[in-house]
Amino acid sequence: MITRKLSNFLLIGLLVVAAHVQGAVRAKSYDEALEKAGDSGVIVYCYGPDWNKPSLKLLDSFWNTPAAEAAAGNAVMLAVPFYERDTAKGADEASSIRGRMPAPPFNVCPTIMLFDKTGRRVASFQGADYFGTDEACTEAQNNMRKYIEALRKQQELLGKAAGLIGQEKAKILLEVAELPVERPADFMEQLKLADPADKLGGMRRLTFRPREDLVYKLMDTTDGFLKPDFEADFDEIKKECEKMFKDETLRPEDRQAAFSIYIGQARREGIPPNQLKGLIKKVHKLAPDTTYGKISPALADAWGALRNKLNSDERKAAREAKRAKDKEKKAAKRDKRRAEETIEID
Amino acid sequence: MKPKYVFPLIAVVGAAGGYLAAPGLLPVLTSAIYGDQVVEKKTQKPSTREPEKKTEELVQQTVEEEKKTSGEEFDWSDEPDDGLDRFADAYDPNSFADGEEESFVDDDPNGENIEPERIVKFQRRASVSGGGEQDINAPVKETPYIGKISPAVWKQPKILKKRLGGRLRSRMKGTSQEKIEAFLKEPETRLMLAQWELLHRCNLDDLTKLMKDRKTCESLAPLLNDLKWLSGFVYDGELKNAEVALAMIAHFRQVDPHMDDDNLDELSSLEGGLKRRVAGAIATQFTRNGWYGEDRELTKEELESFKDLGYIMPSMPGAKKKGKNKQDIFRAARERYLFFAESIDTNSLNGYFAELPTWLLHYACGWKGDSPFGTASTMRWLRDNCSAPARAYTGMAYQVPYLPLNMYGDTIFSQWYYQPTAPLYPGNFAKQTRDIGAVCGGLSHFGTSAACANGVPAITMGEPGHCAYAVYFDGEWHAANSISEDRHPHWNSWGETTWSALQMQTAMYKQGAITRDAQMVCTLATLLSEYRNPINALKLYELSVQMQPLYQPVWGHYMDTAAKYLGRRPRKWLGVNQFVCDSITPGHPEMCAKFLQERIYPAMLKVMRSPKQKLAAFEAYFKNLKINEKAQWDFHLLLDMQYQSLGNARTHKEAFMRILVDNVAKHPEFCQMIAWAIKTAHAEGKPFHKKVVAMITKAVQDNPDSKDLMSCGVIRGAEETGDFDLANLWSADYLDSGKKMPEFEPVGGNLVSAGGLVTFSKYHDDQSSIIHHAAGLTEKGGQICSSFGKHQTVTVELPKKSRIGGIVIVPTNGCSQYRVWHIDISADGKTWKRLTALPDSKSEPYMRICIKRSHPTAKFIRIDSGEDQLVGINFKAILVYDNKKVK
Repeated sequence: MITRKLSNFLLIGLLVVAAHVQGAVRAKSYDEALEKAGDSGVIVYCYGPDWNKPSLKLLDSFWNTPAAEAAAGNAVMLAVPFYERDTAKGADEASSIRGRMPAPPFNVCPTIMLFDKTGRRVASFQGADYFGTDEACTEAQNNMRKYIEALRKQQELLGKAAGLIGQEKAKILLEVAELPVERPADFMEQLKLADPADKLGGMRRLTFRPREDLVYKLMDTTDGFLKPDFEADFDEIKKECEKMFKDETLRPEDRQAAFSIYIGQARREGIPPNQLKGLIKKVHKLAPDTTYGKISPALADAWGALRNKLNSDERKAAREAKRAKDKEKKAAKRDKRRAEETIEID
Repeated sequence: MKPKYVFPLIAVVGAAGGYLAAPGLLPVLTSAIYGDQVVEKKTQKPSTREPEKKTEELVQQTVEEEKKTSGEEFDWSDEPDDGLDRFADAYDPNSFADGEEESFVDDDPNGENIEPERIVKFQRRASVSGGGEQDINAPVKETPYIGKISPAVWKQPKILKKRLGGRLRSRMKGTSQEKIEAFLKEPETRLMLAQWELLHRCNLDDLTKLMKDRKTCESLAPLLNDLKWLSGFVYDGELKNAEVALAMIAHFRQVDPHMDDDNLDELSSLEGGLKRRVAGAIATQFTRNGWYGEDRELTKEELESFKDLGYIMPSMPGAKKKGKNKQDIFRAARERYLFFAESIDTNSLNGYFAELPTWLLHYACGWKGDSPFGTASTMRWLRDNCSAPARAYTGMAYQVPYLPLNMYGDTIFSQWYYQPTAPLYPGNFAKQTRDIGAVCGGLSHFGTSAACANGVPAITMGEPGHCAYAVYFDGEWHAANSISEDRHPHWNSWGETTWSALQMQTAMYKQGAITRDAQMVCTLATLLSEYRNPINALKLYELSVQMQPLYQPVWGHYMDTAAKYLGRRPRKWLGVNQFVCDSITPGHPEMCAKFLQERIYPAMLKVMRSPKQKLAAFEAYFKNLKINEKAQWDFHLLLDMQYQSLGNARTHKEAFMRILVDNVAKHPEFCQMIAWAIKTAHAEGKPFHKKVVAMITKAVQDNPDSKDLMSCGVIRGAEETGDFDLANLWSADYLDSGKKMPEFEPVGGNLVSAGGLVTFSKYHDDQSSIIHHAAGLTEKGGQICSSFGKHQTVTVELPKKSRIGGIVIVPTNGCSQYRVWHIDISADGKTWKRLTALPDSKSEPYMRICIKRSHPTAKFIRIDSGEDQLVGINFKAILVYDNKKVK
């Protein structure tokens, strides 16, 4: 009896272990992977057998290891070769493995891409910055876990949202928006339907683009270049940027970006260094870990140093050029006024 | 002198001249003037024999020293005793071409029906060291051969050069193709040629100083005795400051003791070891360019300071005296080498890197040493994060966002742009650029450096108002991030920095084996020239250009020598001209034109007096036109030179135009030459202009397929000469065909622009499309397309002065996004008055300007895209109305 119980216990244990090992399923082609895929999707390792030897090496030292399988969890794993030359050995088979798989954003190796079960690409990362420099690619494993988990969470939240309406749905959708994976194509439409008046501020938060909405609006540009006769309206810049900075519906880094335009203009206007430092400090305080937050502590001093570096001759030349330009501008204005006096345009 | 004495004297001199010119006597005279006898006489002078003796003693000393150190002896036994031209005995220096006796006097400079003396007697085939023949398109493949010169001998480079010279001359049995081919088959001979060439390119005093250091000398000697490596080092790139490059390589060998251990596979070992080749390429490019600033050579002072640094090896005294700047260059080169060495060791570069021939390594590894994108840390990041198949690098630039302003509102043209984020990217400008943004220059440098960091050759290029780049794969250079065909690489592994030069160089190195042979023959010619044997040197230069006409440097030597010794020999010059045109024009018309202008014509046209001869020479160029490698190049410089050399006789000018028109009609992609013909004829007066137009009309009738392109040429010429009638006549078939105009309300009175003419500040690159050059304005407003860039203007010249009541502009769909145009008007085309900025009416398919009260009088209307827009003006129509009542 005891032996029987023990054997049952062992059997259950083995099944648990098997189930855990079974977590990572490998496929031989993209199409097969999609067939097998669940909520964790398909995770694809792209490598260049003939042209990128490090990625070929990683295929064995990283991708085909239990550690990578553990990181992949329940996602279906697939390795896809990309050849530089069609004549290379094995190049014929590559297209059948790839099937309908979309190409990586940039044809760079090694790349890992994550697709949901419908074949939508939700995340990708490539290069040593995301893989790490150790043989086991610990960084890549962490990233895989992060994205697969985010995809799983996204599927879960989207399923939950499907049964809701109004602001309840919008709240869930905003949670989806914060996940580090790409949102479904109709996401914004769904959000708009759920919160047409944007009471939660989600639409505003997700569509705000500091460069397009502020820089190009406040600074007169063509194709991103400042127009030669542009003259900044400091008061307007200050007003707009401060408004955005205080808007808590926006992401902290967007608020920082908005405020940076004001800081830059303040520097160009020549406000006292202490005041400038104060403004920069505000940015740092809001979110110290963002790009703006990180560069803020040393920024005022660096700017000061650069200003000193520009020698007096250059400054003098700039002043003279500005004076000449002002003169020209005045003359142009005068001419324009005269022309308008005589010619009326429809 | 009184006249009565002058005539007898002339008679005596004339008789003497006639006597000397008689058959049999002239060879003696020429031999006395140019041949070996002179050399022999001069070298027998005590002043030159003395150092020879001294040299002999030194060599003896060196050989003994060598015996002691290495136990081996370099065999000098076959060197001639006198150090003179021994093969001269087996070769008749008086015959210019083998088996043919020639005179050096003018052979009828005024002759009308002169035939060019064909210089092509050479059958193009590359010899293989060790025997056999190979295809001329074969890549270079030197037989492995290691020479025996010991470090002790390398310590005396001056003596070594002399001995090598003597030995090479003693081995030469003649200058015919067969003899030279047999000569080049010996690997030992090939090595000696490469060694002599290296020494020839070095400052021997400085090299002696360098080689005095035992460690340096011992580390360099194995490389300098390796035929594969040395021939690649010497011949696969422009080797300037060679002794500094050697110093640099010695330094690389000290910091990387495993430089020789990289023979990963057969491919890398083919050309003398991958890391060694990389070291050679980096040292060549860094010492050649200096990398203080872009695209310039070292100044004398910089070179001196650099040399100082080169010779201060860590093991040498005075190493601590290195200056900061000097150290920077040396350090940059060393870092670059170590980056590639490490990448080769870890197999991290593009899998096909090891297949690159040495000349391409110059582009992949010798890339800008002075650029922040070229530092080892940046390249390491690019290698590990931007590794792509070679062809994907043409799109790599677009990883960088195009952002002229940073988030602080600072423009990219100021130092403030990258400064705030610099602390986050220490030593990694590429990553900073990718994250922060850039404009065209940053994008193209990113793409280029990403390719180079992964071992794929790439190069940045300048285009008007833009920076582009090119990547090498599938045997060709592919332009990337490019907006114009008017492009110039920022640097080149040798020679000129034009796109055509790069193409020609590529074509040349693809024929690697024969190119290497031609280069070695050139070395031999230089050697003979140095030993005062110019006639044989000339023959060898000639042989070299016949072997590889695309090898630019040899043409320089050949022409310099030929100008001195061919003298007044029109037939010979015609032959040279014919050869250049036959061999270079079909594939590289721009380079050939440049070469003719700079090298051939200055000497040839002096000799030729007969316009008929000149016309024959010029026709050789036009007959060989086949493929226009790029749309825009300064072809008019060649045409002007040719045309002006014909003098004032109308018949010759007409004949020239006929040759040009008939040949261009056969290859109408050169239709820009037709525009030149129209302009030039216009300047000559109406009758001539009429004749040229008739010639073109006839040529188009004879070659109906050429009509569209020939029309482009005519219209362009008409535009530039303001010829309303011609422009409207030739563009009539192309305007308004299938054009649908939007409906709009009347803006004024009668249409006054029909029959007018359109001109552009800059014409569109694509010469081949007639729509870009449809100059005439019709009732439907013409077809307007300018080049792409800033400050583009389109000028409409009305048939007559009118009071302007309104203007309608219909932009094409692609052009309608740009709406900040300005309109200027002028009565005389000189003084302009700003009318207004065009109204922004994005919703309308046209722009309508109605002038209500004051109606200015104008003959010219100019539309200006402004300075801040990078656009092309592309309109479906421009319609100008007056203020009178509609008839």
